[in-house]
Amino acid sequence: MIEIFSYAFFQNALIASFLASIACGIIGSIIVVKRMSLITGSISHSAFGGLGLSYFLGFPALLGAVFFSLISASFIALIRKKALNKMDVLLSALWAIGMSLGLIFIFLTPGYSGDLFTYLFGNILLINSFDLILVFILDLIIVLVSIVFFNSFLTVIFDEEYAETKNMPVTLIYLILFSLIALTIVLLIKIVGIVLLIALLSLPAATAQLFTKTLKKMMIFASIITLISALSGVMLAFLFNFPPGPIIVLITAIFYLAGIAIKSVK
Amino acid sequence: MNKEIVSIENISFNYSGEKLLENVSLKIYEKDFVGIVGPNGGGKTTLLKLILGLLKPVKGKITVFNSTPLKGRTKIGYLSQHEYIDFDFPVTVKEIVLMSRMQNKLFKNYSEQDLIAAENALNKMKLLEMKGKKLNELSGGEKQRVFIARALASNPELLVLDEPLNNVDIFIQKDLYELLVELNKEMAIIVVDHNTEMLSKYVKEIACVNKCMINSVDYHKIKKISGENSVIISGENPEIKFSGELID
Repeated sequence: MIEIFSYAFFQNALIASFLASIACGIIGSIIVVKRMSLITGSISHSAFGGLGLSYFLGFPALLGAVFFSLISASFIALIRKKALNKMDVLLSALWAIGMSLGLIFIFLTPGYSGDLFTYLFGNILLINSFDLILVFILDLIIVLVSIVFFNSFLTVIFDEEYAETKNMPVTLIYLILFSLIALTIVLLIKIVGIVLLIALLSLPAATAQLFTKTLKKMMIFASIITLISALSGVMLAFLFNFPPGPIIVLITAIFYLAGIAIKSVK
Repeated sequence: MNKEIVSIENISFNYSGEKLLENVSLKIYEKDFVGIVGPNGGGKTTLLKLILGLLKPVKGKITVFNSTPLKGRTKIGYLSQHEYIDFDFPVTVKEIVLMSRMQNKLFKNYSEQDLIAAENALNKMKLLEMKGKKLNELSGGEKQRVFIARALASNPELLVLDEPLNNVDIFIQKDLYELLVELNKEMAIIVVDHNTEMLSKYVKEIACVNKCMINSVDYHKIKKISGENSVIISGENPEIKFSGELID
């Protein structure tokens, strides 16, 4: 049991869990309080188009994902105010177009497409040193920008109309926020995959919201829940030879249900 | 003569092709305490949003503090009807009040000065003990005081309040208006309220908006009447008589 800690892949998985938890707690809390699951889903599925394109052109896959997710995040931030009534349709379209592009690019690429499954459902046990460096850089950007912009994000997502009357650059702030969401998504693709990452961005934060009064505390608590879920998920996956992504997601779901149960008993 | 701070000249505004305001004019001066009344859907909130530059008129001119609404609005403290606010949001009273200090900023850390301004505003609204609480732990009246405190923390020269008595307990509505009278010593106030009786006891002037016109009437002398359907408001007997169509 102890010897697994000496395996490089296992150490990588633990470090990745730690790094991902911080980004997840911060960005997930914002997604939950502002109810932006659909936006998050659209950005993550559009990233699949980028993965496919990278795959087709022979680039590192996550590069394309960064590119596509940032473009779709910016697109959403810029049209958000003008297309308020049509947002629902536009987001669903973005979601489906991203997936379609990804599948077509992968289909066009000769050879084995086994990696496809990894991008859809992730596998934290397969993270290599290159991925880890990328995850570290993304994490650093997300944490630093979130700290600098914390008061701006809080003001704008709490009461956008008021922020506008105070002449804050609301659209620019949303652009920065959505870009951080895009980077968090890319960071999570290797870990839980495109399809499941929405769970890591919503369930721990929703659990934390039940017990905290401020956004800052919610972010910290959500990070801790994500970390515990990820670590125990990695252990269970290794011991029982399960795919880690789904196990991690199920653990976050158990935390959420337990949180609701505790809250309703009180 | 007091300085003019808001001037609305012959503005019109359409919503979904329908005329919501037509040829409306109104002037607000320093130290004014103007109550705006009118039927539901008569354009009261729209008028406030036009002053704040949140909406643009299709016709006419609005001047706010000798500038455009977009530039002049930073001198306005605004209390909306909170139609977009989630009262369960994880944010404390003090954090909400501090938000007004983000004025003109892309990002910032709160300075000592910001914290003092927030404390002063909380103190004025008698909320110091509540500063660590969340909105949904407060009563309706306390919630409104939080938003007034937020407006005050940016040291505004004009307060614009949209239905400040919404969800406020009937017994303390009077207290809230008395607070406003106190604030009026330092700044002009525009308040929209459907409770005409309460409003008329405290404000200095009343203006009526009903789709096609606005008439501002002083308690003692008529300040300005425009539009064909005039409104007469008597100061001693705050009973409003409308000529023309009016849905209650």
